Amino acid sequence: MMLHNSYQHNRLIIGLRAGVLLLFAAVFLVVHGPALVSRAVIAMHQWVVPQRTAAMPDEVTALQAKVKDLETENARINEIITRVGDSKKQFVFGHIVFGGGFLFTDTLSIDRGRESGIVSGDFVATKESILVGTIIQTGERWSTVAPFTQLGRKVLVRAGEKKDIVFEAMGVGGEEIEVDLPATVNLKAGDVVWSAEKPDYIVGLVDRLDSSSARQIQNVFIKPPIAFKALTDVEIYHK
Amino acid sequence: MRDGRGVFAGVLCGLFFESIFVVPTFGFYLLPITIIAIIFAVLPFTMTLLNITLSWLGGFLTMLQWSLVATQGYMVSLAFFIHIISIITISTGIIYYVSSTQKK
Repeated sequence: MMLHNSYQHNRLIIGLRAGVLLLFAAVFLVVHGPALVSRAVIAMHQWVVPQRTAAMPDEVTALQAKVKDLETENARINEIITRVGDSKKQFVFGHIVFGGGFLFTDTLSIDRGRESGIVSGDFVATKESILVGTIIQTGERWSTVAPFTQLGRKVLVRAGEKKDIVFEAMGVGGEEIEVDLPATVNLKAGDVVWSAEKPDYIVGLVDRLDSSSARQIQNVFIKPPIAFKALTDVEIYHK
Repeated sequence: MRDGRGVFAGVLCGLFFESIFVVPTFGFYLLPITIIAIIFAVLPFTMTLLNITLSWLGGFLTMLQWSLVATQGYMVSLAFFIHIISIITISTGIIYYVSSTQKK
């Protein structure tokens, strides 16, 4: 008798559970059914249609990127041709492959060497006539540039409105040169400093001056107007 | 005293930095890094951190002194100061790593 009752009891429980599950399934199908069906149809369609139809958007994107690169390269080449035509001096274009700033150093390496006629001692500048440094090592297709701000390197410069203040500054690394001048020398932050050996080229701008009324000497710090670590292209002129 | 592997690693490290960086004179990176390696090899302290610190200081002071001589008394720029610290720290790390892998 008890076994019979417990059997019926178990069947009742199982039936209730199945009913609840069926109810949840019915609600799910009513809510999400159409979306699932449409997804299934799309997936079947993509499987049936040839693969190249699905690859076309990627190919178009790649082609668009390639066109953009070619347009940029074309603009750069046109600029170079214009510079070569306008310039009265012979120079070689170089692309910086190892820029300054690596572990806070000043070292620059370019992709031109003896093959392009570059020798040690040639000087390097930007297209804006800003002095960068000197070639110190050359390979067949590479060269190393020592910036004028290299630690221990001296550079002769001119400053002032008439470029009549001539002095020698010392490179202290980190794209900076320093000099001690008498306090009577009239320099202020922002003044342009030119190369004394190559008067057409800018060395940098006066960054700051450290002086006090009690001192008769002022420390002048000069920095290039552009960061060498941000350079991508330079011009190499024969000495 | 440790064996010479750390010193050898230090010399190689110094030559590597000499070749990739523009140097005021040859030995600007080689000498301080070699000094780090030698100090680390001969220091007898049981505290490894103390050995590393003293080696680091030895190399750092050597490179800083050489820089002051190269600039004839002008203090180096902040960026170059950080460069010196980076080089010395990397070299000390390499020397310690090579020395610590030796057989005991």
